[in-house]
Amino acid sequence: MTFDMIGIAGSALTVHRKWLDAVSDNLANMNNASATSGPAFQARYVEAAEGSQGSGVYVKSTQLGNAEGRIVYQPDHPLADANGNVKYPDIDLAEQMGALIIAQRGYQANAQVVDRARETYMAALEIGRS
Amino acid sequence: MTVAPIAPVQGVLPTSYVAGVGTAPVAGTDGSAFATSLTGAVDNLQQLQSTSNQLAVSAVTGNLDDIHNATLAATRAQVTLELMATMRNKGVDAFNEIMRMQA
Repeated sequence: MTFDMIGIAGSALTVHRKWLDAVSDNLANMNNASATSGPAFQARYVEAAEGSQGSGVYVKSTQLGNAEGRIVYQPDHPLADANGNVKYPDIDLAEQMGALIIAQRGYQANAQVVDRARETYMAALEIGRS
Repeated sequence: MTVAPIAPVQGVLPTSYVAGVGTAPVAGTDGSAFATSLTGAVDNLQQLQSTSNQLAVSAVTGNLDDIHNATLAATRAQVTLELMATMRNKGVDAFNEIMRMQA
């Protein structure tokens, strides 16, 4: 591919965008209560893998987290079972916020790579232009 | 994109006026190599720009998952355009330099 630095950084941008999507989905559903008989909301994690022959990175698959959730005693909740328990997703807010920051910084870093790549190619074109 | 190397300048044919000048001409090509590679580069550039345009339309109509794909295509097309223009200018410069030659 032409100007491969741009393409590689683009693949990383896509991966980080998908990671950000997954984190935002996890945070959005973090407080979903459900009945103890059913599964809790499962956190979504992206699995990134390197592309062949240095072609960047791609999302190999998405993995789902624990469906067991946390059992919380809330007897006045409409979904509470006979023991007064409901289920909340097993998602750690601090962990997700950390992932959010890492994903955002990764995205920004790769956006910088694109800019630097453009500057570099432009510098190459200036060679010999008196 | 692969840009083919610029073809060597055609060998000067020997003259009968000055003995020994240009008696061993460089094996020249048919002279169309530069034109062919330039045309290929223009076609490639056209493709990149049409991709960039399609992605830009998708971006503004909301049919694009990744905004960066549109800006990346635009950047790629821009750099390729610059490369094209530089190559053409170099070719024209070389041509003009040859045209200025005098005996």
